[in-house]
Amino acid sequence: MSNVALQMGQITSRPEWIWLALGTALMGLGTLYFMVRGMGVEDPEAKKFYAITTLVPAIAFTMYLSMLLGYGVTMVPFGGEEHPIYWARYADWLFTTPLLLLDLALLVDADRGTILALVGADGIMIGTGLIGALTQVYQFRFVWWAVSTAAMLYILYVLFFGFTQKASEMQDDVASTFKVLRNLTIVLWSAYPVVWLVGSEGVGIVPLGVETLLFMVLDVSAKVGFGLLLLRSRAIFGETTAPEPSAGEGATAAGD
Amino acid sequence: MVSGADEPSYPASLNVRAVVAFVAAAGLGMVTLFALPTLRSTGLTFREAFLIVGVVEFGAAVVAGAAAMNFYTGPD
Repeated sequence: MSNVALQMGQITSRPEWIWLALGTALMGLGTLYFMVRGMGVEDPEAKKFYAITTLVPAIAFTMYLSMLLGYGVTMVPFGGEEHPIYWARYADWLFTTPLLLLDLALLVDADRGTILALVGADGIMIGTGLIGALTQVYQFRFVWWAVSTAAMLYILYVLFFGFTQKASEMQDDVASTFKVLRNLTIVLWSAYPVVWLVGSEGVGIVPLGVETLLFMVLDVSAKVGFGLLLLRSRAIFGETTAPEPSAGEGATAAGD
Repeated sequence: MVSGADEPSYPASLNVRAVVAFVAAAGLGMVTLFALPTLRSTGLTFREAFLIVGVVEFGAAVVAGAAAMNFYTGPD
């Protein structure tokens, strides 16, 4: 018992533990919800989206659990002090962000070359962000941040210009669903480098507890929120098995 | 909306290998998040251990994504 109490004390001694616990719970609930919702789905196209979109919060759940239990953190010296850096985030982002981009790419039927370019840019974005987080020379941290942010801007550029064009040529369901998800992605992903910059990995204006809260809100929104919007849409179904229109869409369903 | 009414429609068949690859990649992605202390206990520095973790995570994501894209085979 005393060993368990000691371990619990080690978890709760960190002020940010509550946000890590909440993130763990929300990602876990999101995963379960998507799994249960996907059990009755028969359409092959929809199953792809359910598999990918359910895996994203599942990995994030594991990441938050690892951070909560103390596995996902290390101390990095810079600026004359040692700083706790949650490396598990980057491991999670290396897995989940390519899959989120794949969801969007499959929605607009993007070609494989574009998908590979996006995934490659995504790897550079997360990898250089991690290098920045681990760099011990204070000024160099921001150089890596700039490179990472540039990679992110390229990704958002492709989403906004390239994918939007493709979505506009597809059915209304796809176009409208894509626009909502595109806007969500652009807004949320743009916030990550800002939080990094003002948080403990950057200039340190925002304390670690607040930074953890902000990342948790962004993570849950970008993964569970994204999934809720995507999986409720008819756009994920193949042409022959799309369900009946939802309320408000029935007027155009009869066809010409 | 759907043309080609003369063509017979065959149900897409499940690609079991893709499903297995997806599940394996998912499992690997989850387990790897806890692997860093074990890797460090073998004498690796933090950066060396995380390089392995990062490459495995990214590779697992690529495998999972590719597997999901190929869950079903056969005519559309």
